[in-house]
Formats: sequence, C-alpha cells, structure tokens
Amino acid sequence: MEGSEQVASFAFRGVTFMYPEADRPALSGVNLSVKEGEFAVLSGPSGSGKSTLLRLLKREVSPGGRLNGTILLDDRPIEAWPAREAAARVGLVMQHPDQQLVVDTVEHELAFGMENLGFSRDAMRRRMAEMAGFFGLEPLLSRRTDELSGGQKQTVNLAAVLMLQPRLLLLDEPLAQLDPLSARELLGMIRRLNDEWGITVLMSEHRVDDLLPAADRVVRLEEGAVAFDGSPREFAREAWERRESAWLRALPAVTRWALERGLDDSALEPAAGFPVPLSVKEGRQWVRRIAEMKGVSAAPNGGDCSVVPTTDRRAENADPLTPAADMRAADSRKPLLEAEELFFAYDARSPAVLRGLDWTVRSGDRIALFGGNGSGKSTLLRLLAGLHRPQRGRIRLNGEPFSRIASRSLHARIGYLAQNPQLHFAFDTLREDLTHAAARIGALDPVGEALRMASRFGLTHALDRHPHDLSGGERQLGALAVVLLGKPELLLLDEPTKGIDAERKMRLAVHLEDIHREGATIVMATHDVEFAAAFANRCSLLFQGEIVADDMPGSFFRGNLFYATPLHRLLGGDCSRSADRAERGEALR
Amino acid sequence: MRAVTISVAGNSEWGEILESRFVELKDGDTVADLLIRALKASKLAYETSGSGALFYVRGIDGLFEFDDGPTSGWHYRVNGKELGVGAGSYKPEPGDAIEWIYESEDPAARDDKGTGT
Amino acid sequence: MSEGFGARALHPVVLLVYYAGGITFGMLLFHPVILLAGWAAALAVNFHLDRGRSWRSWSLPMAGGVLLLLVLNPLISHRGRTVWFYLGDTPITLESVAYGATMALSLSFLLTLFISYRLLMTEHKFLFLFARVSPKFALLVMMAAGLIPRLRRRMYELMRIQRMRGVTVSEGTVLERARSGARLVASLLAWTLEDALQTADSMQARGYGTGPRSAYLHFRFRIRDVVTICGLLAASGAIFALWAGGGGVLEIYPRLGSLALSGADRAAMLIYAAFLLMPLIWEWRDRSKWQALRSAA
Repeated sequence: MEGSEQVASFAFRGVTFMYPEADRPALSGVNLSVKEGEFAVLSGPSGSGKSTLLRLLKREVSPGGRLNGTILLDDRPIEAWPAREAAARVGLVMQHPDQQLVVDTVEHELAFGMENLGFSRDAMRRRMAEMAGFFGLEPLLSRRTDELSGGQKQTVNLAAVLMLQPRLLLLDEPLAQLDPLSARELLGMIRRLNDEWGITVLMSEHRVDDLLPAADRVVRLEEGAVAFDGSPREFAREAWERRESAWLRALPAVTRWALERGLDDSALEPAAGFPVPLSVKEGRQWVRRIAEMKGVSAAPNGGDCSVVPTTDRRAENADPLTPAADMRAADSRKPLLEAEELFFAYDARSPAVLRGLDWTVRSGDRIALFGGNGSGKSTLLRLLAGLHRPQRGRIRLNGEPFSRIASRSLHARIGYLAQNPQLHFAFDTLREDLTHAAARIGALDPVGEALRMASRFGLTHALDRHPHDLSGGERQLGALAVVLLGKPELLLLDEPTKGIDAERKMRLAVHLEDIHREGATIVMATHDVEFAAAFANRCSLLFQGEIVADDMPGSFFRGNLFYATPLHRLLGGDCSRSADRAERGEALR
Repeated sequence: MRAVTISVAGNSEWGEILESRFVELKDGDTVADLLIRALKASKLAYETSGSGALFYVRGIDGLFEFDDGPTSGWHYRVNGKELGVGAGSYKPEPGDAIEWIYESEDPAARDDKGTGT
Repeated sequence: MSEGFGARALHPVVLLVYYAGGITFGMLLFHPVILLAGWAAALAVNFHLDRGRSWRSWSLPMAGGVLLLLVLNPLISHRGRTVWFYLGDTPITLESVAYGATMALSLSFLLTLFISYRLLMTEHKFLFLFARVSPKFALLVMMAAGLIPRLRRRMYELMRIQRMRGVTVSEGTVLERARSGARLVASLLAWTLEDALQTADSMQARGYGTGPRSAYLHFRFRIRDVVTICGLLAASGAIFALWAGGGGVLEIYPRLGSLALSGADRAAMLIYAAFLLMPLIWEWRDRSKWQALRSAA
C-alpha cells in the first residue's frame, strides 16, 4: 500500500500529558506519526503510558488532565473533528470482552453504534450484512451476548466497532483475556482488516509471538516516552544491543533464542543475509541457512543443537529438578489428592463435563493442567476445591474422602484462586480481607498475620485501598494472599497467567516457587505453555472429560504441535532435550 | 306464643320489601335476631356485619346503604320510635312493632315515609 | 410454525390492537355466555399456536382462581335479590353466584389471552412498540436484559467462592448472615459500578450521545397486517356500538336478569368471537399452504 503521498493516519507532536493528581507525566514529549494502513504494535511495561496514548487518540474516552502538544487525526487537530465523525473515524477495542457489550443480543450490539449515529435502517442493514459475513457472525446474530465464549464476545466487540467503518483501529490488549486459539483467530481477523481493508492498526499487547511478524512498526514506551520506533527487526536488534531484560522479554521466544545463538558469530549478521527470525517459520529457515553456511548436514529439524546460555527468566537461585531426578522423586511421593471416576454435569439437562475422570495429585507436585476451551479445566479445579460435588465418583484428600471432611477444614486445606481475583474480596479494604482470612483459621494475631502476608507480596502500601483500586497485579497477589492465609496444603490456580505481562509472570513464578518450597502442592489450569515449561514438573491434558495425557513437561511437549512452546516447535524432535534445557535456562555446552 | 311484628320498607324503587308479619319471640332475642329470622323465613337476602353491640345492617334484599346517596342507609324503629341503640343490643317485648326503614337521606332532613308507600 | 408464518408474522401494531381490543371488550362484555365463547376462542388461538402447551402449565392455577372466585364471591357479597339457599345465617344469592361465575370466566379468559400474548408478542416486537413511545426506555430495557444474566452469574460465583471463606448467608447466626449478605451485595454493586464505567466508555466510543438515535428494529407493514387491522377495527366498532346500546351485558344486580341471549347479545358474542379468532385465519391459511406443498412433493 505504498503511495507517493501517504497521509498520516495520526500524529502526536510533542505530546506531554499529566493526570490530574499525578506527580509524573503519563506521557512526555511523545512524537509519533503512523501512516495510513500501517500495523503498529505498542510495547512497553505496565504503566508506561500505552493505554493513555491509545485513549488520547479516542476523544470520547480521553482521560481528563493537562495536555501539552498536539494530536492530529488525518492532519487535523483531534479537537476540531465534529462529534459524529470523530466517533466513526477511530474505533477502540478494549481488553475485557464482557464490559464492552451494551445490550442483550448480538444483532442489537452490532447495530448499537449505527443507531447512535442516526443511520437509516437500510444503511444499517447493508453494513450489518457485510460485516456479519466478513466475521462469520451470521449464525450468532440472534444469540444472547452473555451466552458467548470470550473469543466470540471479543469478535462481536470488534465487529461492532467496525460497523462505523473507522479508518483507525485502536486495540488495548484485546487478546489478553482470550485463550490461545481465540486469540489467534482474532489476531487473524485484525491482520485481514489491515491487509485487505487498509485500516490503520495501533495495538498494544503483551503476547507478541504472533504479533511481531505481522507488524510494520514497533513503538516502545518507557515511562511515558518513546524509547523506540522502528521496524520489528530493528526492534529485535535494539533489544539485543541494550541487553535489557524487559525489552528482551518483549521479543518472541524464537527471536530471543536466535539472537543468543548469534552471540559470538559475526557471520550471522543481517547484512550477511541472516535477518533475525521473528516467527517459528523464519526460525527454521534461519537454522537451515546456518547449517548450509557451516556445511553441517541439514537434519530435518535444522541440525546443530548446541545451545543457549541463560534466559534470565528465572531467579538466580531457583534450581529446577533435573528430569531424571524428578522422575525418581516422583514415584516416591505419596498421593495428596485422588480423584476416581468423576462424573459431573452442571445440571440434569447439560452434557457431562467430566466423564469418568481419574487423576492423582502427588504431594510436592507442580502440575500444569491443559485442555481446550470448554474442556472442563475450570470445572475440574472447582470440584477438587470442593466448590461442587460430583454426581458420581470420589475425591480423597490424603486418603480421606471429601464427604468425611468438614467443609471448613477442607476449604482451609485446599486453596483455590479463581480466574478473576476480584471474586476473592468481600470487604472494603485489603487489610480487612486479609485479617478476616487470618482470623477464620484461628490465628492468634490476625492483624499481624495479615500484615506479614501483605509485606510478603509487596502489598503493604495497598493495605488500605479498596480492592477495586488495586492494579491487576496487586489484585491477583492480594487474592493469593487471602487464599494463602488459610495455610493450604494444596493450591489450585485457575489460569493465573491470563492477561499478564512477562514481568509479572516472572514475579508470580517466584512467589509460586516460594509457596511450593514451603510445602504446598500446586495445580494450575492454564493455556500458557511457556510458563508451564518453566515451572511445572508435570503436565496433564484434559479432553472429553478425562485426563488423556499426564507426563513430565519434556516428554509432554515433545512432538506436540499445539501444546508446545515455540522453541520446541522450532527445535522439535532430537533437539527437544535442548529445547527443554533452553526453557529451563540451564547452560549446556 | 310470644311474638312481635316486623316490617321492612325500602325506598321508592323497592317499595315494601316485607309486609308486617308476626315473628316468634324467643328468650334473649334481639332486634337483630328477629330481623334475620323474618328475612330467612321469607327467603330474602341481606348483608350484615358484626354481632352483638356491633351489629350493623348494610343491605336488605339488594338495597344497600349509600345506594341513594352518602347518607342513605337502614334504620329501625320500635313502636314508632328510633331508639338509637344498636339492633344487636335491644331486646324487644312481646307485642312490639319493629319497623325497618330505608332512609334515603339523613333523618334530620327526611320526610315521613312510614310503612308502605 | 415459526416467526414469519401464521399469526406470528403479524406486525406489532396489529397485535397491539388485537390485545387492546380483546382485553377491553373482555371487561366490558360482562356476560357469562359471551365470556365463555371468548374463552373458547382464546383457547383455540392458544391451541393453534403451540398446541396449548403454555396454557396447560397455567391450567391448574387458573382452575384454582376460578374455583376461588366461584366460592368466595357468594360468601362475601350478598347484593342480590334472589336467595338460592342459606348457609347457616348467610344468604347465598343467585346474583352473587352469577357475578362470581362471570368474574371467574373473565379472569380465565384474560389469562388465556395473556398466554397467547406471550407467544405472539416477542421481545423484539414489544421493544419495537416501546421504542416508538420512548426510545431511551427501550434501550434501557435491552441493556437491562443483557445485564441481569451477567449479574446473576457473577453473584452466584461470588457467593460460591466467598462461602469457602465464611462470608455466606448459609451459616452462622442471623446477624452474621445478614452482615454477610450485605457484604456480598455491596461487593457485587461496587464491582458492577466499576464495570459500568467501562461500558459507558464503550457506549461513548461508538458515538452514543452525539445526536438523535435511529432505530434498527423495524417491522414492515404488509398486506395481511392491513387486512387484519381493518377487520379488527370494524369488529371493534360494531361491538362497541352494541355495547353502548346495552347489549352484551348481563343484568346481575340488583336482580338477576334472564340468561337468554337477546339479539344484541348474540350479535356481540359472534362478532367478538370473530375478533378473537382473526389471527387464526393466517394460521389456517399458511398451514394449508404447507400441507399443499407437502402433498405436491
């Protein structure tokens, strides 16, 4: 889409923005210009100003505060746009699928924007037809929005925004709450919008593996200022040169791996024809060319498995068990939780979610539970937590059947952290929630216990805040603290890494390791293959209501196409061992 | 047999509902008991509320209080005189003549309708 | 048959006239025989729409209500002039029995009509009518319809999880339960309000408030709608005229009139039945088309 004169879709000129009661500007001196039809990715740590930047481009949701500098939309100052044109010109899709939906049915939701702008009925019908066709929403039109899956909801949100035919599409972490499959589909749709319709896209996301190959531009913000603005490959180079862990974590795993490999080999310069790979496919090509260059026989997977020093993903002292040692230790550990022939359905008319499931959780395990959307991972965790009772089958904790354990004791011994941490708060301040939890198990000094737990998770400053006023990370750790005060032997986590950035994931991993070291067994339902690879000692797969695979991470990922980290996919087969080690960060020469 | 006479007169539309007749007087009968006995014997409908001192006639033979206006309603006289006592309280003597009269207006302003029209 | 065929295809305004008329005349034509005929007609409509399934689930309470009125009214009201018998000292008049019966018939008739209303007047059609009157309110209804299931689910989740840590209404003293309940509701409310901010953003981002809104929901007025409405209005006029002339009503108080139908009564009954059965014309017509297609195939 190159033209001799490309209109700038939007431009920031020397923009500094400060929230009303802040002491630091949220954005300082931002100069950014994105051309029409470009796909730009907005990267940066939490609090770097990504959301602020996006919102300043959408007048209707712009935050109040002091703004210096100009923001131009199509070379016109953004304030000069008439209301209806401004609303239609720029579309915004936000992170949480539920809250963006306004009315009850999909059809009405799609029509909502057009109604607001006073479209005639015929015009609305035409656009609806076109859009529903493009997004494949026709079968969903009469459905109620609350019955849809997360991915479907977000698709509806995107379609609803596109009804107004915006030329600029802003997306604030739209994939964060979605499972990998839905995320991929949605991303595919966004790419199509950019490729085929030429809509300018500005998207902020943490999950960059699939994003960077599609992007034309990467803009990195740090503390409100533009720290980088260039092509994805330049970004990769820049990150490498800076050696900053935060930047490197923003890169796809394959890119990181390739950069590290090229560490002492000047022959592997882009100039020499070895552009840094951004995707698994490019990674394979890259490895093959190196093999050719070095005259090494090209094994199907790319050959040379000598690998990779540190990824500084994990804390220095954390030492994972080596696979062999793990295996020996595993058999000697006694079962903590045994599930036998579990059958469960939510009501008499729905199909059974779990069908004769058998599973054993051993004391000291760190299990990652995988399964497709709707496979019943959450349901299984809830059953194990004692939230529901199975219609058939038994669950035993340390040999005792659930039915014989008092619920109060059960809920203290088994801790459960829901997908939405918000559910764990019931009081007006964090302090009260923590104190209540401490008092419930009969602590002698509940207030003190609460304080100690808060400081352990770095939440002392947030103790007197309302749970709503906590940031996402604080909320999750706060909920974890509440659960932990019960001193559980078993901790069940439902998708704890959903929608969080690499930085937070690392911190969470550290906390979980501490918890594990203190003797708790951990079971985690997740889609996050990389996190599991780094943290788990066992991976299980739930399918059609039963556990169909249950193995150590290495063997679990080996040969898998979907449940495999990008590195496993790249280095699959003989090199899977190396991939394992690469994931675990052990140096091997 | 000890007896009293009872008659019931409605308004101009209804006319005489019950011609004067003898009704047996039993021990302890009040005007209310006698009225009910008389009406039942003649298969007439009525609506009353309360008992004893609170006994109150709301309607006889489909002619109800307030039908003719806000002050219309049922009154009774014994031997020609309004006693001012509730019908459930007064016990008549043998030979008394009890008249039930429907007043369309407040007694203070009424014409003498008498028994029968 | 589904929406698009039979009575379900009728325009919301037509349905409005139908039910407005049905209910109004159901109350004006206070004659047990006429109401019985009306009830039969409404039952026929119900039967054609869904084999009377919805009606069946109401039949028991309906019978209960009928029985109640039949028995209760004579016991309470003694306004009649014709005494049937005495229950102790309580006169049971024919008039109050008749009135009770007519009231009961009226009630069952209106209920049956209402059941068919729920079958014919879908949410969308109702919303369409409402949007004409108050578009803001219609939007509010749609938003509420979307919000309530979400809130219910969230409350359920919240209660389930808080139960694990003792904040629950199912254990503890009355005071504790009350306090927990209040906590949970407060929590839910605060959470929902926070969410509402995001929803408000979403609405504004799509141009809400930038000017007058149009309505997406639309129903076309077709030939059958015109025909039906003319029929309904003509019938309404006739019934009203008959009623104004004294027809169609049974004299009950103070003295029960003859149950025999006068000419005017008969006319009112027939026209009213025709009024009520009008939607069925389309049911029969479309159904016979289906039969014809099937036999031709």
